[in-house]
Amino acid sequence: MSIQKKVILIAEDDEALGDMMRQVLARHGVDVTIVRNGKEAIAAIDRKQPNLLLLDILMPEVDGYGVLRHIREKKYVIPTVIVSNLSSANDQETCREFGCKAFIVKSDIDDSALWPAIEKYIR
Amino acid sequence: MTISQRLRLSSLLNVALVALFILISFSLLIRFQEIRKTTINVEQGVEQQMRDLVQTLHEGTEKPSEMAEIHERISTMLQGSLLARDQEMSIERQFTIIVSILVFLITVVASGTYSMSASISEALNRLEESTKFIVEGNYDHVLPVHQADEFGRFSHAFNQMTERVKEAKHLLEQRVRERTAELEEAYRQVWEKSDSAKKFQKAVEASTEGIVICDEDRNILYVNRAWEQQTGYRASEVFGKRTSLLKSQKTKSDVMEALERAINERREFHSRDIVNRRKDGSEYNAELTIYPARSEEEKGFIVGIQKDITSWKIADRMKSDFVSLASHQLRTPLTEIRWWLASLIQKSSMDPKTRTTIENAHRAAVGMAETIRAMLMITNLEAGEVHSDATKVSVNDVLTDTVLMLSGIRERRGVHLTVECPSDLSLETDERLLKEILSCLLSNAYKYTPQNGSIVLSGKRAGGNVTITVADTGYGIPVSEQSRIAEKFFRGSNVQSLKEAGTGLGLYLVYALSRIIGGSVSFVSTENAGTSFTLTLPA
Repeated sequence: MSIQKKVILIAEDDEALGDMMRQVLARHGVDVTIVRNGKEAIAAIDRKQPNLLLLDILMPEVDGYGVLRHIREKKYVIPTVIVSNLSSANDQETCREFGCKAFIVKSDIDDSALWPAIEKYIR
Repeated sequence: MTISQRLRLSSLLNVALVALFILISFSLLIRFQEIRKTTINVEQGVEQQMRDLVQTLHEGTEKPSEMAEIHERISTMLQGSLLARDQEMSIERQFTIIVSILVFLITVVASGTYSMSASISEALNRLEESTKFIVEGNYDHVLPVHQADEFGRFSHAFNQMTERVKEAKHLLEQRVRERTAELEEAYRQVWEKSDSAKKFQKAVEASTEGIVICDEDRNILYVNRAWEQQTGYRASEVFGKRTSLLKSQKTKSDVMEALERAINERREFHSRDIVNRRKDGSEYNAELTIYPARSEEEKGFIVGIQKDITSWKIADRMKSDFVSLASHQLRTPLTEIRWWLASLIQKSSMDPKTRTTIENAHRAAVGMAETIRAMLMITNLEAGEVHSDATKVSVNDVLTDTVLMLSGIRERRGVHLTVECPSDLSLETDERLLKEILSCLLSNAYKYTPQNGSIVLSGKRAGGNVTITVADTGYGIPVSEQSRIAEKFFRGSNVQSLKEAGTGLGLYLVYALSRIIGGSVSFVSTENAGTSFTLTLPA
C-alpha cells in the first residue's frame, strides 16, 4: 500500500492547529481527516480504522482517554501517537499503558518536525 | 636556735635589760641621795663648827687645847666632806658607764629583733605567693626548703600538704568517675530489668502514627490507638485477624507485589502509594513502613507503621492538576504562535527585515516553550515524582527520534550533524528520560555552535556500559566556569549575549535526570573550539 492511500486521523479540537497539521501532513501525500472531539473520533474510527491516529487528550464531549478506551474495548489495532500539550508523568504513563506509540508535546516541536516524528508509526 | 626561741630570748633580754636599767638607776639614785644627805650633814656640821669657832674667837678664848680640838674637828669634817664629794663623783661615773653599756646592749638587741622580723616577713611573702599557686590549682608548685627553722619545717609541711591535696583531688576525681559509671549502669539496669516493655508500650500507644504488630503469618497481635482511629476498628475486633482486612483494590499491583516480596524476604518496606479500606468501607491513602523483626524466641514478628496521607494526596493532586492545566493553557496558544511563525519563515517571498523579525519572534516562542518544558520537569523532579521506568531501548532509535524532534532548530542553525551508532546497540533504561537528557544536550549543541560548525552524536558500547556523546565545534565553556555547569540557571558568560534564548535549566536537568536513570555525565570543553558531553549508562 503506497503512502498516498494511507489515512491519518487527527483528533484535535483547536481548529487552526488541526488545519496546520493537515497542511503539513498532506504535503507528504497522505490522506488526512480531522475530527474536533472524542465523540467524532470514535464515530470515524468505527467507520474506518485509520493507519495512524494523532490524538489530543483534552477535548470536549469525549476526551482522548475515552477514545483509547473505546479502541481497547473494540480491540482495534490502531497505531496511536498522542499529540497534546499535556505532559505530566501521569498522562504519559496512562498513554503508555494504552499502548500508544509516542507522546508528542505540540509546543515543543515546529510543524516541520511533525512528519518526521510520526512517519514511522504509519501502519 | 628556732625563731620562737630567738624571739622569746630577744624579748626577755629586752625586758631584763630595761629592768636592770631601772634597778641600777634606782639603786644608784638612792645611794646618791644618801651620799648627798651625808654631804649636807657634813657641810652643815662644818658650818656649825665654823660658826662655833668664830664665836669662840670673838669671845677671846685662847686656850690652846680648845683651839686644837676645834682644829681637829674642822679637819675631820673637811675630810668627811671631801670623801663624800669623791664618793658622789665616783657614783656619777659608774652611773654614766652603766647607762652607756645598757643603751648599747638595748640597741644591739633591738637591731637583732628588727633583722629577725625582716626575715620573717620575707618568708611570709614567699608563703603567700605559694599559697596563691595552690589556690589556682597548681599543685605541682613546691616551696623551697633551705632553712632549718620553723620556716624550713613549715615549708616542708606545706609541701607535704600540697602533695596530700593533690592526691586527695586525684582520688576524688577517680571516685566521681567510678560513681558516675555505677550510676549509669544502675540506670541501664533499671531500664532493662524493671518494666522497660511497659515504657515502650506507652510510647507506642501515644504515637500519632498507626502502629500494628503481627506475627509472621500476619495475624494481628497488637494495634495502638492511632491505628484504631485510622481504620475504625477496635483493637478487640482485630486480634488474631489478618492485616489483609485493610486491603482495598486501589493499591497498584506493582506496589502490592513489592510489599509482599519485602515481607517474605524479611526486608524493610516503605511506600506512600498504599490505599487502605476502613471498617466502614471508606478508603484512605496511607504511607506505610514495615519493619520485619526477629525476636529472641523462634518466631519473628512484623511491625507496620502507617500514616493517613489522604489530605496530603488530595492537595498534591490539586497542585499537579493545576500545574498541568496551567501549562496546557499556556502551551496551546504558544503552539499556534510557534507553528504559524515557523510556516511563515518557510515562505520565500519576504523582505529580509520582515524575515528577521519573524525569525526573532519564532525564536522567542521556542524559548518560551523550552522554559515551560524545563519548569514542568524540574517541578516534578523536585517533588520527587520523576522515577525511572526501564525498558529495553534501542540507542539508535532514541538518537534518531531526538534528532527528529529538534529538526526545526537544526534547519535554522545551519549546522552539520552526524549520527554514529551501531543499529543493534541497546540498553535497559527509561526511554522518555533518556530522550529528555539527549534533547537538552543536542539543543545546547545546536544553540552554541556557530553556522557551518558541526555536531557528532554518537553511541557506543564501552566495557559494561553504553556511552552517548554529543560533541560540537561550538563556543565552549570558559574554564573558570566549568565547575558550575550543573547549577540551576547557569549560563556560560561567553554565550549570554547570543540571540539564542537559553533557560539555564538544561544542564541542571541533564545532571539530575542522569542520576535518576543511574548514569553519569562528563564533559570536555575548550573555549572557541568546542564541547563534548558524554553520558555513561550501565548497559
